[in-house]
Amino acid sequence: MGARLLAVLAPLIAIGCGMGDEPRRLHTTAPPPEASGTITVDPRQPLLPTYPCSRCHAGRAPDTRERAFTEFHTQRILRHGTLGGWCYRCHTKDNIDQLHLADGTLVSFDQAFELCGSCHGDKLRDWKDGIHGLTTGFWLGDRVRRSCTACHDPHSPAFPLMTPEHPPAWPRTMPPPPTPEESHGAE
Amino acid sequence: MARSDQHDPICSPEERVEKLVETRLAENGTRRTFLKLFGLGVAATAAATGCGKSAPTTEEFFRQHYKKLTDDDKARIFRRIEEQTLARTGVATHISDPPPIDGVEFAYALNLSVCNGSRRCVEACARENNLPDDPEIRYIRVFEMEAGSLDFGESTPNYRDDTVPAKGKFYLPVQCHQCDNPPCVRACPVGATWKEPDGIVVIDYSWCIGCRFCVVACPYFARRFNWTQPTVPPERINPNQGYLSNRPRFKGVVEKCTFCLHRTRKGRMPACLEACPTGARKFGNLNDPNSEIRKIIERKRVYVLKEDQATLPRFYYFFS
Amino acid sequence: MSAILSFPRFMLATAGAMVRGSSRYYLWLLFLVSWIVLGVVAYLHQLQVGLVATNMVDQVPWGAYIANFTYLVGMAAAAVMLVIPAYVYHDHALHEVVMLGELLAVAVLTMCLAFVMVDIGRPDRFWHLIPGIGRFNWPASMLSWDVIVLNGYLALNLYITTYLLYAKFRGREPNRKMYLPFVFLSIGWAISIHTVTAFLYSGMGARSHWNAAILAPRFLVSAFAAGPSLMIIALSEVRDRMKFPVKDAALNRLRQIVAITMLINLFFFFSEIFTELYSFKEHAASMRYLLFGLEGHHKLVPYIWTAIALDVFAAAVFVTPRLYRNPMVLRAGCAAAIVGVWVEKGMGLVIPGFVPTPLGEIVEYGPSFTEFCVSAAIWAMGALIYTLLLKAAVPIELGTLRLNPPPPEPAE
Repeated sequence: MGARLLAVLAPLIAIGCGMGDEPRRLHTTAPPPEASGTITVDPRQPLLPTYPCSRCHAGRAPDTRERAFTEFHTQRILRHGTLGGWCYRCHTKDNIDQLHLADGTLVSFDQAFELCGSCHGDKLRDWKDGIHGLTTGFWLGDRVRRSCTACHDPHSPAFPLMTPEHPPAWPRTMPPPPTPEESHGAE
Repeated sequence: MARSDQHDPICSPEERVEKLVETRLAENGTRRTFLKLFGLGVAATAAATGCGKSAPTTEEFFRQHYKKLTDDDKARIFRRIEEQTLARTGVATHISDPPPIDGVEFAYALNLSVCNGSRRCVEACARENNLPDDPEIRYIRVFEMEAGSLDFGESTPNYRDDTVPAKGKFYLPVQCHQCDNPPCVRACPVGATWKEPDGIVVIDYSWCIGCRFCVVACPYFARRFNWTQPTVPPERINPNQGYLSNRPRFKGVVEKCTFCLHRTRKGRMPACLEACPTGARKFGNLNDPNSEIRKIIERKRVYVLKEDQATLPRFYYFFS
Repeated sequence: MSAILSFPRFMLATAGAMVRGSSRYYLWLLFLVSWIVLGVVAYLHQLQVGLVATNMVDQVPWGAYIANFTYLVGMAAAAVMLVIPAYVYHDHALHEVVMLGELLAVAVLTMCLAFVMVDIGRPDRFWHLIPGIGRFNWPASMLSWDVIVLNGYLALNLYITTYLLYAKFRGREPNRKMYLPFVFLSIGWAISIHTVTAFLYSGMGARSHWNAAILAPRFLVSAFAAGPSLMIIALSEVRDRMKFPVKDAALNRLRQIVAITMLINLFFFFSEIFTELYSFKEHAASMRYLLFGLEGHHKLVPYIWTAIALDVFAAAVFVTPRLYRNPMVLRAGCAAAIVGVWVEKGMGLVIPGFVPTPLGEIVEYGPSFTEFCVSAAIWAMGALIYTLLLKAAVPIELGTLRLNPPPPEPAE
């Protein structure tokens, strides 16, 4: 009799005790699928319209004065950092087709992230793990990681303002909201 | 036009009226007969305006719950749906039913320091999941929040700023969090929505009765109801469809974000992530210690919405 | 054996009683049927275009249909307010009218089921709810509990009333074993139907306006104020029009019940208001929307204050002898209780649960023309069913409708 009662009550007690606990966050006991695929950083060099720079710069002496460009690179307005060096803080005076790190080590335009990361270390660490930046493709397979300069113009790296897509449709049962003109007129 | 030959009782009034007149007039119930005829006549007129068009086919009416379908059932059903879509829209679609991958539990993370409220994710999701524009259904809702407050009472999803991000605001997109303790799954009286082993909460659109109890139960306003028949222009139909995700839905059923399971269960990233211009969205396998999502949870200050609801969402927000 | 054989004659006799009556009776039926026809046309329109014919949207997914359903479940439960005094406390004055209360429960329950049917997006998939054939998410889903308790209560009341009426029709004494256990079962069951319906709401963690322990008590108490009020009106009509003897003591007992429950209802509502507003949390946004309006949206404010006024008026009538002894004032008090609780439960409870949404959006709601027509039709259908049931039941109770009518008195 007692045994039968226990047999009935035991699962109820077990459930009762279990229900109060927080469920385990991971329910699977199977191992994760093998990490497959490669992460490639999108190459930036092929997209540079004026590459190779040596075509023009081979015969020119480097000009380190801070100035507005009037002849070439007229779109380039430098809004990045405050201290001097002008272009040659990143671009290399005697090797114009490459960039350079603070200690003089040369890096290609495809490896620009190392240069960016030499100042923006937190971002580089996050980016190398995919936490910062855009990585598209297959989470289980090949994926492409955008290089820094794919989103941030290194000369004016602040992320550009964008026009947002349209807001959600206004609920059909509500009167339409006042347009900006109407609400300004009311003031 | 591929339509069933199902006999819809409402739309064949003539036979019913005849039978009724014969049998009932024989009895002593002339008044009731008159009333019945009158009622039927009105019904027939109204029904003749086309309610039969939206009646289900015989196969659809008797279709069993997804979990009871055999592989043969599924093959037949998918083929039939593809035929119907082709006949209705001229678009050749392919319906798949990818199973959850062993050892995978999906999670999503969203970087609030980086989201600029562009709503590109909203529109990409709409394209990927065949969401209608009229009436508009969008799974993702982006809230413009006041800096310094995570209070939704001070937020709005209806911002129309000329450029984003606007000064003094930050942006918080919300979609289905695929909760580990989902109130919607508890609420559904017919079990039309459930949590799959890889964490995605799915809906069997052919089983849902449209009671909207799940819509009431969800604390994140994640679920959408088809108040009328949804239509997607043929040129915008995404032909890569999943039975539990973005196949054609119909009026009277509930739908929501499914983490693009027709893509993610095949190893791809969800559409919203790929469209995000700032890279704010992160997705992966929580069970894999090397995944981005695990690293985010381990390294970043991560939180969830409405934690007091004990829904245990699989959607995390963080600042970087 | 003869019990089964005579049943078809019982059905025919009751049907006959239902279709025969005075011209006022036919006018009343015609009035109800025309509302039903209007509703059928409206519902067919809704079937064709979908629930977009209503004013419900994603932010307000439940509206007039479920509000009416909620109110009517309470009305159905109120039959227990007659059963308890009659069977538990042996209040003989009420014993004769219990049948009429149970028949009201039958009519009201069909209205509840009708409101659910017109609300769901896929009524053709109704069979998905049938345990065994469909897939029934019991015990997790409160709606699955609701399906069980509502259909069970309907079956209980149908059985009890049919059994008792049939026995009386055959001139036999009903067998206590065949109905008394079911009557006592129906007492507990009646409480359960409205408790389960309340739990539908109070279980929703996402909706802070409903997620309160007091919700189930509020539901029951308000139902026990509105239901007996309707019974008072119905019994007065039956007494006047159908010559059914309804003792004053029965009506007085009902009046006492409403007096107590309406006062408790007001107290519960006041308790909710205080709790929500005193600490001024975000939690209370729905209550503030309901009572005062929120951010320029104030659609419900006139309704809730009218409901409170009606409730207070009803309470005053029911406790003041000088007022309730006047039949017209009593009827006004009953009507005030019925309408006041309807507004308080429907618009005062269901709709504010959705305003604001869990993510802070404010979308207001008021029923569409289609919803109004369909809802009115279902109310008319309930009134029609109750009318027909009374038309058959009262003669049987009075003894004028019998299987074997007594031979006529020989003429002198």
